[in-house]
Amino acid sequence: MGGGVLGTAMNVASNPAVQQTVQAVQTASQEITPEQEYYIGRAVAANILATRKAYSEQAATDYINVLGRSLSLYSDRPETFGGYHFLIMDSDEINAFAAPGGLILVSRGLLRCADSEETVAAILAHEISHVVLKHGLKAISNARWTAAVEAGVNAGVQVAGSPGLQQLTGVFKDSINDITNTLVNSGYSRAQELEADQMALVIMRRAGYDPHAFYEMLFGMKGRLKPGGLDFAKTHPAPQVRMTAVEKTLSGPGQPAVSASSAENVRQARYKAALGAI
Amino acid sequence: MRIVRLCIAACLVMAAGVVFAADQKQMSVTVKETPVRATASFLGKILGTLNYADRVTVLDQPASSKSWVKVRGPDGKLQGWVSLLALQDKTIVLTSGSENVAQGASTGEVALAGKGFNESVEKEYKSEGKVDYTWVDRMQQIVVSPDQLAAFINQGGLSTPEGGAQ
Repeated sequence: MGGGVLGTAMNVASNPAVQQTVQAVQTASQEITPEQEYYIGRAVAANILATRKAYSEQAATDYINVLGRSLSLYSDRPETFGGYHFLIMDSDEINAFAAPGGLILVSRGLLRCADSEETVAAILAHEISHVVLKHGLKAISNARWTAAVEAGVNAGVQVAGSPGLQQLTGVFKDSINDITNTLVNSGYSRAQELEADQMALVIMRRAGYDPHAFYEMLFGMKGRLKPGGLDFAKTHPAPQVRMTAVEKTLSGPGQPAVSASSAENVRQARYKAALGAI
Repeated sequence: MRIVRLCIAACLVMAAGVVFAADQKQMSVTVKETPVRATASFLGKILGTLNYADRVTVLDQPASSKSWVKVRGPDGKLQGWVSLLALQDKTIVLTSGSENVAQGASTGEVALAGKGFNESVEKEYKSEGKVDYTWVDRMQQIVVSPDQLAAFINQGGLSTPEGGAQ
């Protein structure tokens, strides 16, 4: 980001009219509009895909999209501005990224930690939960909000190449960098990851999947994660930490028993057909 | 005298109708497009589509359904059920700029109206030529049809989705 943009923002903050706007926007920073979330998410996904290759095998892509879209219907946010879309990354690393607004990228390596539709559902439900909880947007530095207001005030009519639009685009770029760096390098906080795990259990239970599959997926991940890796080994709490938290919920009070589904064979067959050779 | 009374009664009924119409709640669509369904279910038959920022009139919001409302679209003809999670009370202003920022700030109507992370900003960002959106555009073209969803859910023995907090 241009330090200059932020610097100017601090100066204009003394203007009463702008101050009022800043206050309103700071209050609203937690409620960024779905449209803006959409454009932020597109840019974050584009940045991540700049260094990662897509795996475009049709059956696998179709399957994670229909499974992921189904799971989103059981979440607290079944609809986003541009909808939920899923893409497999052609990589052995154990990784996934949930860009704001519902663009979700999962690696082949992560999908190999699953061995059933239920365990793939666990992976996707966790990523959907990050979108529902807006963890990506929360990674945007607070300083950007002030800069965004100042840029918005100066933007006027947004004509291509105009200084106002360039300033806004600068703030946009910095916000994208904040999120991308968090997703790729530092990771969300441990509390946010565990929160997404808990929400995933809820989504799975609502859908009719046995939430114990989430534990199984983490067990599979534990056996495959390589210490020192630049993937989940770097950005996520250790699988054992997550397994302990999940186990506590699954064995806690008020957890109804999940009966085996008569459609289990159908699920396993379609999982095998789509992702058996992932 | 009787005629006068009848006229007064008729006027009162009409006035009540006007008040009732004026009292009908309006909401705005917060997603790019959302289907209007024949029943309050994500698997319900799709009757039409509403677009971002469309204002709709709420016709029914039954206590039994936390996540669905029956609405009438802006054309006055399209009527059906929409997920409450695709709607908000506040009006959405589509354009951005200093005027909207000030207005949004003073009325609280639109959060971040002038922040303007929109299509113009994306075009400007793309024009720098450093980021390729090809795969993002491709993944957004992947559409799961309502029939595909229904078949996947039914054949897999999954629950009927209610949508939202249950």
